[in-house]
Amino acid sequence: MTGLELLGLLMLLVMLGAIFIGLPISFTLLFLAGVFGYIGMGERVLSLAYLQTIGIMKQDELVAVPMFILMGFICDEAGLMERLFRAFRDLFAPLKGALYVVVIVTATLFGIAAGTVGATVALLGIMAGPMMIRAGYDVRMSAGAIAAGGTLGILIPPSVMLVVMAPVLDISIIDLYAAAFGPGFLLSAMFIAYTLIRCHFNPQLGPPVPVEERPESMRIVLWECLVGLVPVTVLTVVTLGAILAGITTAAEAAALGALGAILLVIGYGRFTWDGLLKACYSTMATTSMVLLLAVASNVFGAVFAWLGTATWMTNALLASPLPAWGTMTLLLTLIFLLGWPFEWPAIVFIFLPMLAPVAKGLGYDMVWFGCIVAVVLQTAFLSPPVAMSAYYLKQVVKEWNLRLIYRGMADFMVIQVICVALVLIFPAIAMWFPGWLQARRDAERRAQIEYVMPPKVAAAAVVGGK
Amino acid sequence: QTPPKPILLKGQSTHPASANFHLIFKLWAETVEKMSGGRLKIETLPAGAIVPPFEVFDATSKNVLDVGMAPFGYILGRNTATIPMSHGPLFGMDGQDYWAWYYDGGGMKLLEEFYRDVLKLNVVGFPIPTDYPQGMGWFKKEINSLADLKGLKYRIYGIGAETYGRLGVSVVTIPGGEIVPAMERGVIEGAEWINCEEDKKLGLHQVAKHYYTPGMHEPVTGGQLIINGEVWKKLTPDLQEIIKVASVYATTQRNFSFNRETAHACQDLIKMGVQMHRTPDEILKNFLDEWEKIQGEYATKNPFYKKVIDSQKTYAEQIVPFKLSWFPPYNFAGEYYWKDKVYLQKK
Amino acid sequence: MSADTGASQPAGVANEFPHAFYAIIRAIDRFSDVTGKLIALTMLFLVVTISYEVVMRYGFNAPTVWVYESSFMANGAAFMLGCGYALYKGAHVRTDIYWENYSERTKGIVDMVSYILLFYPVMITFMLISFDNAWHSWDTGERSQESVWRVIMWPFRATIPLAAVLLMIQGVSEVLKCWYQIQFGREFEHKEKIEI
Ligand code: NA
Ligand code: NA
Repeated sequence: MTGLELLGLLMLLVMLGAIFIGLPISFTLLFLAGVFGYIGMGERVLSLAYLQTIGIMKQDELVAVPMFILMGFICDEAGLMERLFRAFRDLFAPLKGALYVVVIVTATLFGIAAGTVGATVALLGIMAGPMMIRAGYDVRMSAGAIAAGGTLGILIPPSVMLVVMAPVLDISIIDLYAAAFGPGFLLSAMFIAYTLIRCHFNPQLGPPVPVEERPESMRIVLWECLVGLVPVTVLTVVTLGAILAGITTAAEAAALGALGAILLVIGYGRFTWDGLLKACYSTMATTSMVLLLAVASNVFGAVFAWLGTATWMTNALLASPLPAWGTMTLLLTLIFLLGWPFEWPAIVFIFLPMLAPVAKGLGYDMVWFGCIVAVVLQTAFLSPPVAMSAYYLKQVVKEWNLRLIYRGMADFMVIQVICVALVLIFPAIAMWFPGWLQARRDAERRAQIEYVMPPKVAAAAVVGGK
Repeated sequence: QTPPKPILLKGQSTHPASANFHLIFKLWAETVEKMSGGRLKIETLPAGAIVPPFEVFDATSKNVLDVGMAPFGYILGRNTATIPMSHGPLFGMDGQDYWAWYYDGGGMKLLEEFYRDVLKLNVVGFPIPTDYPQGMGWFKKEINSLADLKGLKYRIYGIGAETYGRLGVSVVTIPGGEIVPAMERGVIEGAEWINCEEDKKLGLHQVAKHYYTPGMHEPVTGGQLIINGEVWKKLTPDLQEIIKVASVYATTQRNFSFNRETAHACQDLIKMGVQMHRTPDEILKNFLDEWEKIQGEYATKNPFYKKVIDSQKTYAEQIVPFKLSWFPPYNFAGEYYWKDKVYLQKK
Repeated sequence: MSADTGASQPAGVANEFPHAFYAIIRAIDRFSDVTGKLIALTMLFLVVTISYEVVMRYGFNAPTVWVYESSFMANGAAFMLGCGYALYKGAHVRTDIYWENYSERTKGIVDMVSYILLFYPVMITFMLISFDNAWHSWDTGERSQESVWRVIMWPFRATIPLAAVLLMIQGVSEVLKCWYQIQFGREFEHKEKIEI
């Protein structure tokens, strides 16, 4: 290990300490990169910082970030989720543990349209929370279902986390999106199965919805379901369909999705200029925060690479005597542990670039790796002390105390870990869908280009071997 | 007496580790180390390791990198003179003549002036010609005349884009990685990339079956091996000479291999059923006519541009007619031996 | 999310700071709010132009030459310029693990120190180096190169020093708010945590 590599390691440790204290992450990263870079490489660090900044500003994939955020904000305002929630509540009313299922199904479907965890958890909390309290639902499991269900949107595409992760791992957003569907729906199914099974054996946990709160006719229920589902379907077809079919880039699809969401709001008669502008303002603040963090992390990462510490770390991890899957498990555990104190943006931007070369060096498919990391990161929302999901839930359902919410989330985190293990053992869970899309594309290509070889050309093509 | 500590330089290219362009860079560094008896060691990092590809010129100028390897195309927006300094019809010169212009026709002096006074980059550069020559590209349908090309959505780079654009072709410039999907979904109907070898890697034969060559826009792609000015000044004259000579050796050596690799790739494509055609002369002729008009405009607007093409013209005027007169036509003895192996039929 | 939470001096507080103290905060916040909202209109620009491009491409077989470059440049410029607004909105993330347990006064001190020690040196440096580069771009007449649009590049590069200036202006207001927090042991205004 050279002096410079050691300097880089020291920079990493100081950074960890500094952000633990609670200093604003972006400015801290820029500052430390500046100071340690200056020691290691002199004034040149300033140019390095500038070049990384302009590099991020020119990245065309990142246009998808504000567009997906905007789409999410507009969907939140459109009241799509309230509609979906009511429709499903009526549909599943007679079931034991109905409200758990309703919460998770609504969160899953809404995850396809948007996926801001805060908005999803808050809305589910406001709508489902009081209902669950009235119906005598188990507090732990209710809080857990809402907090965990609310995080599904970050995994199920479209998701801003996946959008920013793809360039970090140097893979296509399309592939990452396709891969995330499998684990996303699996997780949702596992959540539902878990709550239903527990309610089956202990009906006390989730009694059926009281008769007086049920709808009168099933026809109305079905109609509401249909109307509630239409907007989600439209948005899915417009955005995900366009991306997965390869018709548009992710940024283009996201812009169309935002436009689609605006049209839906107009269709629901809820459009106001004020609302639209507000969504733009919120989008601006969030985008600036995320992408400034991307800039700062890239500057930090570039200094880290320049000092040689990044390569040294990768080589050290690759040289470990563990088998490939052992090192992979170690990496995922590390990311999981980072998820307790940190939120996902810090992990994706700062730590993932340091760990990804190891996964690559071990020969793992980066799309699969990205997907499994996404599932692990989802737990960052559920792992205290920095558990955003609990924080949002506590804000809207004052009756539930934080300790009970944490206890409830812990059960769902176990399911989450099982899901990670499943994806680790059966990569097909993630890779089946992107593989199928690829096979379909290949078949279409073959159908488009039927090569007919003229015999003369074929003869001419035979030239001395390689 | 202990041997002096070796000088370590940090270098990065704009290309991934497997690309020919990066392989030249690597071979150059290895050669320098050998020739200097280990006194000079150069780290050759691939694209993105320290700075994004488009920033390599600036990074080397500011000494974030000691050494950079990048094509002039990556700073095309800085000055139109990057075009004749790196590609374009070049007044009939081929890749070899173009390289000769640098070392024998006054190009090196202009290059120095270009960096210092025009681009204002603090670097010393050496020309690294690669990938010569490039085809006109892939099309879904046969192209028999300029009329067939008009209105077509065609992905092409640099001066090709400017020129075909003026000829009424609907040109698009999208990055390499997006060409195949764009072609697949009909966003574009034609696309040029590099040549058989590189296009095959990209998968263009999976989305189009008609491949046309030659093009007039890129008889060669001029890369640049650049060394930070201050770093350069600190090197002893023998090390400076080693750097220069090694660049010539590494470029030639890799280009020999690349030529052979491309030949095999062309054969592979034909075996797969790709139809390779010679670009109709009419298209190439129109291209040159239009390009000369554009070039005239550039030259009026940009004095340095004029200086470069005047120098190239003077050189080409001596070399090209000489080679046309004195060198046996390539096809004469070539066809005597290999006529039935030629896979392109002139239209 | 009301825009002007910090605009007025909290009721029931002895006016120990001179009036100008609150006036400066108010003026700066207002400035960041207005500029930020103007910059946020870029979001609508992006939705409209990108959708237009897709429609032109598929509907009319006529892709534009300018949408591709203009969209990533608009995004890059907007997110940089929007950083000052994000600072005003309290959007720049920190790790809460210990932060939550600090007293308001400690929070004020930590923030004040990080503004003076981290934030300002970084921003001043950033402004200087990026100004230099924007100047270089202007000086050499740099144009874009990812398409044949060939738009001039210096305004895009100039957004970085400008962003640093906007951040530093809002920084003054934030430092004053820290000062208030240290003095009175309570937040000047509460900023909701922004999530993504
Ligand atoms: Na989502
Ligand atoms: Na956490």
